[in-house]
Amino acid sequence: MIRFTKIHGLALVADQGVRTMRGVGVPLAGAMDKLTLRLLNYLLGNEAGAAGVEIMGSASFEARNTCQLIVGPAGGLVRVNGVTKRSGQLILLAKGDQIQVQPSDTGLWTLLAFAGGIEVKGMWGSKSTQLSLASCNPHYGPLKMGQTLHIKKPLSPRISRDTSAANSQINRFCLPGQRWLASHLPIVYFTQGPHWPANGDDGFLATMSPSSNRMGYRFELTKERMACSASDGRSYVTQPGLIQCPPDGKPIVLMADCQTTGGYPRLGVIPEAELWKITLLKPGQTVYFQAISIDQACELNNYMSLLERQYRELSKVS
Amino acid sequence: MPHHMRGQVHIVSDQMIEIDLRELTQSLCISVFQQLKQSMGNGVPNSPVKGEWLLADRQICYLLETGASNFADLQWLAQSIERELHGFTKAGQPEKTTTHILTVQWGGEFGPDLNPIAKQIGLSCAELVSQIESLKLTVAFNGFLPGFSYLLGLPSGMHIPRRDSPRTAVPAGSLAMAGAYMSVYPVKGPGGWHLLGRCDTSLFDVTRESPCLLQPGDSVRFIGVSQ
Repeated sequence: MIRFTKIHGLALVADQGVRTMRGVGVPLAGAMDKLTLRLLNYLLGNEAGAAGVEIMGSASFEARNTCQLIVGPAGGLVRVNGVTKRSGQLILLAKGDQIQVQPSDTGLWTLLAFAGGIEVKGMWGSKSTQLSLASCNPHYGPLKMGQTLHIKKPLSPRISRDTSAANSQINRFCLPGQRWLASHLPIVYFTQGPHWPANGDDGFLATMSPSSNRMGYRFELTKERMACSASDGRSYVTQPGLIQCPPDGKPIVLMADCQTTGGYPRLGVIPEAELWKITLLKPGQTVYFQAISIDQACELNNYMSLLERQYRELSKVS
Repeated sequence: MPHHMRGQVHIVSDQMIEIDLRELTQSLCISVFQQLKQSMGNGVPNSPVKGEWLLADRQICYLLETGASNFADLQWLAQSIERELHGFTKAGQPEKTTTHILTVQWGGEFGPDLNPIAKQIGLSCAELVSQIESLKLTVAFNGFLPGFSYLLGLPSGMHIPRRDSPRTAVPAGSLAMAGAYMSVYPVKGPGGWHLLGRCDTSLFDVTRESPCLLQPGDSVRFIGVSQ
């Protein structure tokens, strides 16, 4: 069990989200960076869908019993009893340990995955906080100071209890993003949508705007406004990764808590394998959105599935 | 002589197959959606990837749980859907429907856009309210936010484009219009629609077996009450 003693920002329970209620408007929700949460879960010997905690800003909590923790994404940072621990490291917590979660060096969100996973009463097959329903019932709202969370007993801890041995194995892998953000101009791949300008380029340069949230990240264009093809005014099914073009011409990339339908023209879609990159951005950071074919998007997804398989294998041999 | 369906099936992304039914009425689209779910179930049989059927404005989507790793899987899905669609006829109406009467407090702090929208349409506020109250609207589909129903039936003279920039927070219960639609925000959320009033009926309740009150094909009328 853990108990939150401070929350400056937003703290949520997050897993892979609700996948069966979009037809009545319930957002997918869940972790902003679902890929990294799955990778952390594999490293801990959890099921891919185990729930963790996602924090924007900073927070402190106390371990009420022994548990194992890994922090993500690349750039995530915690202090355990004042000692700094980086992301991707297996951390063994003892009863009474005080943990401070610092704002991540990369992106706005820090993920905490625990061996066994967080146990809360879920809904529709997900344990994720549903912010879209928080105005109806505070039970669905974010975590609060003083709140305790139960951690399930790991069913078959496949990872070594010897943290240094486990970390030497984990260190052979790195969480996505460490190299990507260090590049001169980070690139995000997308596939063009029905309203991509007919004579447009095959990409655009854009800077993340501070008016971004869990529903959508907004971008300012470095050149002129986006002149997308006109929409016929219908509302379409949306999905995380969809790039919309509102009338002000500033693209919005829909994120985990996005609405399930929307009427703004559809510029394109970021493939699932690329979405983690967006979550690593902070306001003011510039990226180049590069168009690829849907065939190539599937290849990226396939590459990511292979990476996931490697992580799963790692936890089996530990 | 039955008219066979000729929807346009597109692969929109690594995760979505779309059936574009722009040439049909929404009422027929609801019927096609129900036929698809009946004949194919919640997913496409024998599909290598799982997904769910979703209905929007003259559009039906098959949204995969995860992005496809193989383009051939998406092509197989699109072809299977196209074959299934060809067997359908443009017959039938949506299944059993209900009429709902929702009370509204018009204008004031609840409907800050009532005045400017009435002006834009060329009516007084009272005339706009009276016109809306005389309409029998139809639930076209649900989406956007939990329990948010898109209602069709506004005359074309009352179709007003969405706001240029969406509000970051619209209060729960807000009655709003944009384009050809009207709706009530069941929960607080962002939105680019014009706010005309406030409605206090609970449209989404997680404790109900079917949490969403309004279903595609249902009818809705609005009646004003004083603030």
